[in-house]
Amino acid sequence: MHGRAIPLNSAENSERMSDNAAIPKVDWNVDPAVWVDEHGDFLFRFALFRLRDETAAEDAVQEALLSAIQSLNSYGGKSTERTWLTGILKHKIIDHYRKSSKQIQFTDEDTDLSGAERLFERPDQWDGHWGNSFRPVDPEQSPEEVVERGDFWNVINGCMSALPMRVANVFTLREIDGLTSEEICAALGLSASNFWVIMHRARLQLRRCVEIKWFRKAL
Amino acid sequence: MKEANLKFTRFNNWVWRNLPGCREIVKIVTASMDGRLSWREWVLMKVHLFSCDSCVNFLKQVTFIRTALRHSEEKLDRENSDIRLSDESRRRLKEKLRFES
Repeated sequence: MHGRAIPLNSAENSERMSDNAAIPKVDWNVDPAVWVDEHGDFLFRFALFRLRDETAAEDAVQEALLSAIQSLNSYGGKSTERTWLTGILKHKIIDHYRKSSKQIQFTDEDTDLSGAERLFERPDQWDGHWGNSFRPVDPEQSPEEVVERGDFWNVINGCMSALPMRVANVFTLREIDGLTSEEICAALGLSASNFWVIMHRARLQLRRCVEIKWFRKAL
Repeated sequence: MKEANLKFTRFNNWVWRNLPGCREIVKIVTASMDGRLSWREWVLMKVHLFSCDSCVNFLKQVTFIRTALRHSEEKLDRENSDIRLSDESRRRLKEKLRFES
């Protein structure tokens, strides 16, 4: 992963960028307090979904807005203000994950795959294959058909919050924020094999939950 | 046609009996979503998926969830629009920002 190290601290990163004369410095007569009114709730929800703690979410938003003030010069208006602020917030959230994963190691519960074992237990010669009542059903829909439906997102929300906190963190970074495996391992100090077990666990549990609450009901 | 079906069933039986079962295959399927597979894993996955509808559905479901989540940002946000900063927090944030800038 040469040259693709994840910029964890965007303020540092943008200071480096502002040394670069090619990026025009914009005189922004912005009142950052306006950000609070325009994007505050959005950023708070973004952080709360990922941190599941109101105080931590509020702190992350505050830190992000403060770094945004520091790096105003580097914001060339290429993306919308909200996208720019969200980008900074993402880094603050990863910082938070990293700090908390230093304090609390991943537990056995996080890497426990035994919950899924029973899906593959069979009394007959086909032990190790899907049990008769657990066979996955065909979704028979396209994701595009459901993304506009509020009840689908309720199911996703419910199923995501049933995941252990740290499992959900890793899963969100990968599947919602679209970071690569290498980026996540580097940012959180995870081994490749731990990352794999956590993702496998998250996918199995989430899929099972969504299957029960959505795929089977939709049929 | 009937004969072809029988051959197919025998092939499936052979795959199920002699190659890793669904429990192992779903591990390979999820691993394939985060990185490259070894050629051995890839072949095992393809052969198994060819003969197991349940694992094909598993793959469809996890891919479905991934695709939905990848354009979830604003949707999830809209769904939770009742969650807001409290007036107190809003005031505190603004004060802090004014002070710093």
